[in-house]
Amino acid sequence: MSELSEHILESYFRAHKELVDAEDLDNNTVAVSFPVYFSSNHRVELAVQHLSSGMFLISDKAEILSELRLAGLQITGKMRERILNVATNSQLRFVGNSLVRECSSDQLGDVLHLFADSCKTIGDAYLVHRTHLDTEDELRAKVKHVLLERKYVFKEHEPIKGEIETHDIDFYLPPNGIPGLALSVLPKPTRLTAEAWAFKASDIKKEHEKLKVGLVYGDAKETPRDIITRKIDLAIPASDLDAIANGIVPLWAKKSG
Amino acid sequence: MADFTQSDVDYLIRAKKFIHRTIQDNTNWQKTSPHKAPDELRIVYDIRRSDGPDTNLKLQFAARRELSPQTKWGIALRWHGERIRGLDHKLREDIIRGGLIVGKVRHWHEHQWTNEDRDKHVVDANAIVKNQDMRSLIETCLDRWNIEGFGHQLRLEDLK
Repeated sequence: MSELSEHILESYFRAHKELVDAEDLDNNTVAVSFPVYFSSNHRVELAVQHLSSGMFLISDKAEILSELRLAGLQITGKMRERILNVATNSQLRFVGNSLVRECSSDQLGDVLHLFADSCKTIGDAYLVHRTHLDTEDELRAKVKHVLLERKYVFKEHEPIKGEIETHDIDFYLPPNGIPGLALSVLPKPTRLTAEAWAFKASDIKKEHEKLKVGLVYGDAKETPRDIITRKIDLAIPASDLDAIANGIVPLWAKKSG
Repeated sequence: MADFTQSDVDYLIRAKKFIHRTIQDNTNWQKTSPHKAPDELRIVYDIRRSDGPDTNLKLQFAARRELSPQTKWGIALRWHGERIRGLDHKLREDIIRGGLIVGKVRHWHEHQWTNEDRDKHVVDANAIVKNQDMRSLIETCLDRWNIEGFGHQLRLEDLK
């Protein structure tokens, strides 16, 4: 090994030693914090317990599932399976909500490194590449921005009378040479909410024949998407909102014309 | 992106607030559904300003802990879904200012929302955490963030 490579590795190991932190939790358990980060900027922390058999039990203290939950993911049985598949190299298993692995004293260093690396891989797979889903408020704000930018006259949260009941609509654009538009947002459509909106649309249209009903919808599975596109006059996917910034109304006028 | 600034957040933190209602609380799961343990213990309160009790601010106080040994309670004050204040325990956490790591804190720390770093900016909070049980942590945070709680037991500070 050359002098240069020795110098580089020595610097790396010195820095690494300072970046790793450890603390005794009790007589047999030590918590170790690694300079490995989740996207939330939290470091990977592992608890290492020295068992009476001489083996070591390493646990993530339920940190991985906690990070995923904090990011808004729902932890299902399938997701637990996939997590184990992602971390298949390090032979982790779930005990309750914690990922654990047992190892001998000889394997301890390798396993610690692998375990921390696997935590990071799981975090990357589920947290970093996760697409951001707009909340209702965010989606409403985006639509409002488009309407304001285009200088359309509209009212917010306007109650629109249907044949059976009155419906609260996010944006009401009154008729002005072209039919009026009752536009709402639906960030996470399910079959149930899509069907509810299909009912709302038909109820409104029974009372106001010339009024068009529009819906800006977020990520949807095939069935709710199908219901929305079939039953709503103007179905706009939230992902295409930027493209529609060219004009919600021309699109609506085209459809109505 | 958040629809508010650091000034809005600081102003809201200083304002007097109260717990309007409990949205979720599964901490007594052993009594209500003893055969089905939840994955995590969670308490969520809806918070409103004392000078505007009818206005829904979309401000939530949430405390949670994984139902697993060696885990600690984490508490967050979320405004429009974004954590504007938080109390958390980690063996070590980096202090971030302007996107750069400028130091580290150990154990209890408070996340404080800033324009540049959002909730990644942390300050040491070991001095303010006296007890680590759920009730004490919740009361500490309610006091610190100017939220009137459900009422608490008398403490030494109250005996003046």
